[in-house]
Amino acid sequence: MNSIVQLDHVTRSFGSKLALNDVSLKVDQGTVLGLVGENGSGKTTILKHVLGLLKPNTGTVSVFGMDPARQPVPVLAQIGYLSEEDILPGWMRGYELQRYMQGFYPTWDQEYADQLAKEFRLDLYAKLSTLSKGQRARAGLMAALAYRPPLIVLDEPSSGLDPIVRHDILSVIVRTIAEEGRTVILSSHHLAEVDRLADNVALVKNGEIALYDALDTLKEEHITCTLVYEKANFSMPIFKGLVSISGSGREWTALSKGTPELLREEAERLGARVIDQRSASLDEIFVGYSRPTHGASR
Amino acid sequence: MQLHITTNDGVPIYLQIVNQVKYLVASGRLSPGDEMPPIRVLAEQLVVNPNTVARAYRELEVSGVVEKRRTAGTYISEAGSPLARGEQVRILSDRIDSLLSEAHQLGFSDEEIVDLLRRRSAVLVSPSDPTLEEDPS
Amino acid sequence: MRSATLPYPSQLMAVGAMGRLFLDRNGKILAGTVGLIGLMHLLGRISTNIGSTAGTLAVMMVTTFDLAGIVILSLIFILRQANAEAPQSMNGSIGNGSSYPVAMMTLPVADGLLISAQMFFTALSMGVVILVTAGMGWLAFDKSGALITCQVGICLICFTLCLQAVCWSRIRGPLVKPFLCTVLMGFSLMGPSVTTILGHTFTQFIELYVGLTLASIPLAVIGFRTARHGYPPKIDIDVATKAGQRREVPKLVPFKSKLQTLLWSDRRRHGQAAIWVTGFFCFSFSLITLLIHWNTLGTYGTPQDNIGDRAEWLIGLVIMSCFLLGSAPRRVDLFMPDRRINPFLATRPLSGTDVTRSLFVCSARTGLISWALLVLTLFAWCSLHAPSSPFGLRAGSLEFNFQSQQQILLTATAVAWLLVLIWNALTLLLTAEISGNGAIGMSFVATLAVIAVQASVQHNADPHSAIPYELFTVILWAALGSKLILAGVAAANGITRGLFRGREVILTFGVWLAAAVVMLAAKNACCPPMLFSSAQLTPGMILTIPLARIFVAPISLEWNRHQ
Repeated sequence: MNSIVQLDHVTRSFGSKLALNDVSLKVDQGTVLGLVGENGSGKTTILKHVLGLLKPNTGTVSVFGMDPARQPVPVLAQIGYLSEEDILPGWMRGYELQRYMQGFYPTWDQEYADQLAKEFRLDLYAKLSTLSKGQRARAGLMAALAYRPPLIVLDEPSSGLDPIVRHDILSVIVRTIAEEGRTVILSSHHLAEVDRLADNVALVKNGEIALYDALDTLKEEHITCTLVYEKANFSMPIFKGLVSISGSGREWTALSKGTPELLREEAERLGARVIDQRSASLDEIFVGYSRPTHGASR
Repeated sequence: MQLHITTNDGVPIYLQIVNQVKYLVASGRLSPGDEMPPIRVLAEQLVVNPNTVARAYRELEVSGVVEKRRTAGTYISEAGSPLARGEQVRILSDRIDSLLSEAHQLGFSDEEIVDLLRRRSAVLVSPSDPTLEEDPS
Repeated sequence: MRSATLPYPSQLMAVGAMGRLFLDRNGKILAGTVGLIGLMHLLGRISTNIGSTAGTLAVMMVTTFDLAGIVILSLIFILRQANAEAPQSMNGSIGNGSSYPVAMMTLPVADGLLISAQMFFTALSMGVVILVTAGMGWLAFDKSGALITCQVGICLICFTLCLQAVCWSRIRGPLVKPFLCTVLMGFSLMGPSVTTILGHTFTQFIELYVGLTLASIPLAVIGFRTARHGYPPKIDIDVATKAGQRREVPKLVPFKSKLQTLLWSDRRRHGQAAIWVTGFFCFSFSLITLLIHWNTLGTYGTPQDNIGDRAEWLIGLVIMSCFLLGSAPRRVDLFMPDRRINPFLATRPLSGTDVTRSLFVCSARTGLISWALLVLTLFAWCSLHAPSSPFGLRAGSLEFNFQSQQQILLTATAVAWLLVLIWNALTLLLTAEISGNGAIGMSFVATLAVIAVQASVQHNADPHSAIPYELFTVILWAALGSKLILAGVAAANGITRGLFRGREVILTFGVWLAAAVVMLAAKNACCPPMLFSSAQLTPGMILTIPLARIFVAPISLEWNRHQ
């Protein structure tokens, strides 16, 4: 498959603060990449590199085979971007926004834009600054999708929005993905959203990619279980494949990576019984990797 | 066709779709020849990635539950019905497995479990009988 | 009279200080600007000591914030100091206020604060009082007498009501506080004027209050709108949708090019900038001259001085309404700490050249509009006040005639130069925006401070010292040289980055060269040779035409956008 976005060993620092450290990502055509991570972990910084708003200190960024910072015009013409912050010019009215976007994108589809506006119940006559936050987000989505960009970059599209707006946005995104060849990068800390939409997931932590794989593979590879000891064990059990563990005394809850057989062997070695064993949800994986056990081997 | 997707446990979404469709077939709520919704429609309905739905359909097709007709979409296959009994047994075995592991955890013997099963069954048949309900042991 | 006009700059500074203390960021910015105007007045007062025409010209240049203008201003300072034997014009303008700036500077800020508060209540009661006088005017004189006094009353009541409207509506949101600040400014502005009416002639009285009434109407409109709708406007989604269904969404013709789109979206912002700059021009120098020459208006100095003074004063009153209207809802972007390019624009498929080209075209367009506005007002005033005019409001006290062809040329050049200066000011505002560096925009404050120090030093220095004079020649030529070198380097860099083509560079340079040649020709044709040294005036004038800025802009926009 064609890779649309490729980041190779991208490192970027702001002053003395290292924002991205050796980040490598590849997004294939027609797939959805979910970027998850805590606030300030570097998700937005990665997206800004994709958009060419930031230049890497070392490493290369390639979008549609071009450097977005050096050739912003052909790259940005193919990207639909919805940002977390409200960046739409508030003085414009809805129909003026449509006209404005039309001037920049020859592929603008007015019928589709009108259809989206109708579906979202957008008041095209109202100034964008007078709309509610949810309506503004919908207007932003309309502006980002109506020219049918091959790559869609969504930076926290639903943060701070009510469930109805979130559902609206998600279903429009689903419909967009369903069209052939659309590629989406979705950054979010609503894990349920990522879980539903993403093909691949990258977990960003302190400016590094802590985990990057297909979502289904991740779920199958990771096991959450409870270890039960006969007697209370006050030292934290550590075993091969362990990602994170919490608990005390006789019962410990662990997230581990690897096959169930490996887990059972390791538990036997430690003299513990494995109960409640099942594949981990994205939520558990996210929390597990965000707060790993000290000294745990990965 | 009503499917319910949850993201609370670690079961991949495509597997949830596969299992639920199999369950619907096994329980007779989907009968051979019924048309499956198109991938796009189901994806929008469930708000999940269409690629995931496509994968589920592929799995279902491989296991023979559904079949693709060249022009007219995806249908529950005729060959699906012989599978039904086996599938029913499989679904029930799964539930029994989890029941057994929990019961063993709590220290019940197999006889006690069977006994309990009978009593619960009796309660479900005649729920108005209060004596059975009040005596859990 | 003196006691009324004396505290004026300190009042402005006090408003600035109040804003800094009590208001939010926007309020602080606006109040800071107001304070800055106060500072400018001090500077203007100092600079006018060197001669009325040259001083007014100098103030004009200072208000354009341009380095080149400031350099020329310094040059004039030095020239005036060196050629101290020009007493006739100095006498005319100094009048009786040579120790005036010192007095203003020593006036405590607290005093100004007190006066501002006083003005508020004075104006409040004044409204009522003057309505009563309107009735008295009708009884005592005739209908026109009542009309005039009524105008004054209405004007004051508008001010009062609009202030109250703002106070009584929810005082919150980004608009109201700076707006309140502007209204305070309007009050402090009006305060001294109100106290002066009693001592002035009937026609002056009319002019002043027609101007003030005009000025108050937009304020009142804003005030009432704010009171009615509140700020920020709260609109229920459902209501908005219903309203939207009722209103027809116009089908607009799509733009043909990206440049057209950008020009359309910038037009509004630039319209505000134009109002701001024009208003700022007129506002500052009309008030400066009003303050300085109030007592001597029409009695001292040469006729040209008087024409200039009165024109500035009157234009100021007319345009002041625009200024107040323009600056009230607008955030003064120049002082924003984070000046990175708007992310919405930055993520559109545009090159740096596209954006800067549209910005420059837009600024040229709005520069032209502001200039036309100024010139038209000036001519309108002149025709009203010409001795032959049927509206000769003040005929007799006015000697308005050009004595020689040279003066006509001089006026024409000044008018043309005004256009250059306005555009220059607009592009300087843009430079801060394009480069993403507020410091560049703020640098004019620093240069102002430098010039203030320079002025005070020069004022007290030995007037026959020749060293600074020579030094400034060198500095000006060096500045011109570095400008050309910078332009060359930037152009080459821009070509290698693919931001512009060789043809565009040559075209730009050609236009610049043509403008320089025209300007120098005009200078040679009309400037009195004894006043300016050609060795200084030539580079000084060329410096005011932007060249390096045009080449640097796309590069710095690239830096700003792709950090």
